[in-house]
Amino acid sequence: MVEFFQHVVNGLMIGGIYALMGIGLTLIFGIMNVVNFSHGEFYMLGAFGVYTLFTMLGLPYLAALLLTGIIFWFFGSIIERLILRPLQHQAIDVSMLATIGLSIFLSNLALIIWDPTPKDIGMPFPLIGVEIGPITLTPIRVFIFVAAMLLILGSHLFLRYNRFGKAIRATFQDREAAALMGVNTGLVNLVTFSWGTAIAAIAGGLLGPIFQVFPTMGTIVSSKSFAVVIAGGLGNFPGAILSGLLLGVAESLGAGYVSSGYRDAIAFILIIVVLIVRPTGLLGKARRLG
Amino acid sequence: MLKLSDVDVFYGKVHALKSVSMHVEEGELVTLIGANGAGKSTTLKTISGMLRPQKGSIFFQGERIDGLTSEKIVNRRIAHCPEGRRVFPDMSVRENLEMGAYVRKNKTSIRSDLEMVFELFPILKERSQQDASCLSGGEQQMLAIGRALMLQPLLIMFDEPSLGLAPIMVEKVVEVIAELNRRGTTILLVEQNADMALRLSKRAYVLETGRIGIEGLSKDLLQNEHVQKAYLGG
Ligand SMILES: Nc1ncnc2c1ncn2[C@@H]1O[C@H](COP(=O)(O)OP(=O)(O)OP(=O)(O)O)[C@@H](O)[C@H]1O
Ligand SMILES: [Mg+2]
Repeated sequence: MVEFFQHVVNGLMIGGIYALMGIGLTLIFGIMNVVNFSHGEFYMLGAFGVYTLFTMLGLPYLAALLLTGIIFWFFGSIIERLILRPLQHQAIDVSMLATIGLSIFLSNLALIIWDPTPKDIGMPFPLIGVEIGPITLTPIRVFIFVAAMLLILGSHLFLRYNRFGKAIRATFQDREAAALMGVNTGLVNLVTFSWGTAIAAIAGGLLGPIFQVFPTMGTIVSSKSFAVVIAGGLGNFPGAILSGLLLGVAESLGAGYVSSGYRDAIAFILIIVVLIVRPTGLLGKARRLG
Repeated sequence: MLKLSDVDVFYGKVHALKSVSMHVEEGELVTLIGANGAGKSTTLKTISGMLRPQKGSIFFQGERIDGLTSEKIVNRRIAHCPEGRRVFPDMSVRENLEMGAYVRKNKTSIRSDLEMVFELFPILKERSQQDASCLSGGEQQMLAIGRALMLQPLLIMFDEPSLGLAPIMVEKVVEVIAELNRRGTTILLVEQNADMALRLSKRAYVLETGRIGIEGLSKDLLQNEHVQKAYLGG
């Protein structure tokens, strides 16, 4: 039983990261009608950002994380302006091809800048485990989970109560009607994409210290984020959070009790099952935000 | 107050509006009628900046507004109550109304307009915390109208507000539009229910496949043989 809870707790930590990746991807899809295949590369670059700022340049971990988020907010804005905006009236597969191209470009760019050998970010927190009852928690894991939850909660509160957040929700629900209210829907796209990019980069920077950092690390995370988004219901914000956490826990339990070799297959088993049982996603309703 | 001159609008190759000219004076209630696909919605969308005219001009209060973004046009207090209501389904009734006042800054006057809308449509007050998707079609139309009013508009454009409503709801909508006009709001009304619209308005335009076919006083149009045949079922 103790082992079971330990797996669940570990799973929630990874699941928090999947949820973070998932909400960005699902919002970008829901609002911009863009299937962002470079989301995993933003995650990878975020991990390299923290590696560069924290490990190489010696900034405090939190500062490195924050700075990475800011840098990738602007990076996302540039991508939106230069690549996605000119394509916004084209069919969805045009922007899809563009983001696939971008993902290939970015992982090769990382290969040139940081070379292919996996890097260790190093531990930003003491390694001593904190025992809570029979469960052991290391500070980094607690930090990852809390940071992920705070970012999700912050995004939710922003969408729920902020004036611009409401405009984002309105645009999500009916773009044309939102424009008729005077919402600048172009700005909504820009902010959504920048925010999604920054969140993905921070997710990479959060998980980086636990795993190694290398240029192709985004690929599997990208596929899993898609699994999370599809299982949660395309464009469904709470659905992405739920299925992200669920995937993390399922992976951790699967690796613990079945075989760790199956870890990465679990995401795909999960989507297949969800799509067969509930084709519109876990929460049933296809689209919902905030 | 509003003046369109020789406006041409295309959807790709589809020539939807052909040299449309019309005007609405301050305080007037003007009707635009026409068959399905005549270009009524296109006309309103062009005025509110959703579409760009290829040719021609649109002036509002003496200033040119064609080519401006819809955001800028909303800022000039032109409200567009779109065809099919288009309320935000997963936002509460109250949030929907607040979205109507999105470009306004003055919180106290927004609050007093909210009270005004609740007074006009008590059902919206009762349901203010519910999602708009829970409302009936008629209630959603009230919400769409209320949302347009939240702009404190100088001009409101209604696109088929009676569409799909039960007769008693149609009556309510007619009452509200007439009342708004009495209070001094300028109104451009698009309707397929030509009889209702012509009785409500003073002047009217008839749009026929993208062109203004007939224009004149509503009471004359009601007597016009062609209008009777084509739009009044007689
Ligand atoms: N998005 C679009 N793309 C291409 N053609 C369009 C589009 N929207 C409308 N049209 C065409 O433009 C013409 C005018 O359409 P519009 O919607 O303005 O008509 P309407 O008078 O409002 O009709 P209805 O009474 O059915 O609402 C029609 O021929 C229509 O098929
Ligand atoms: Mg129409």
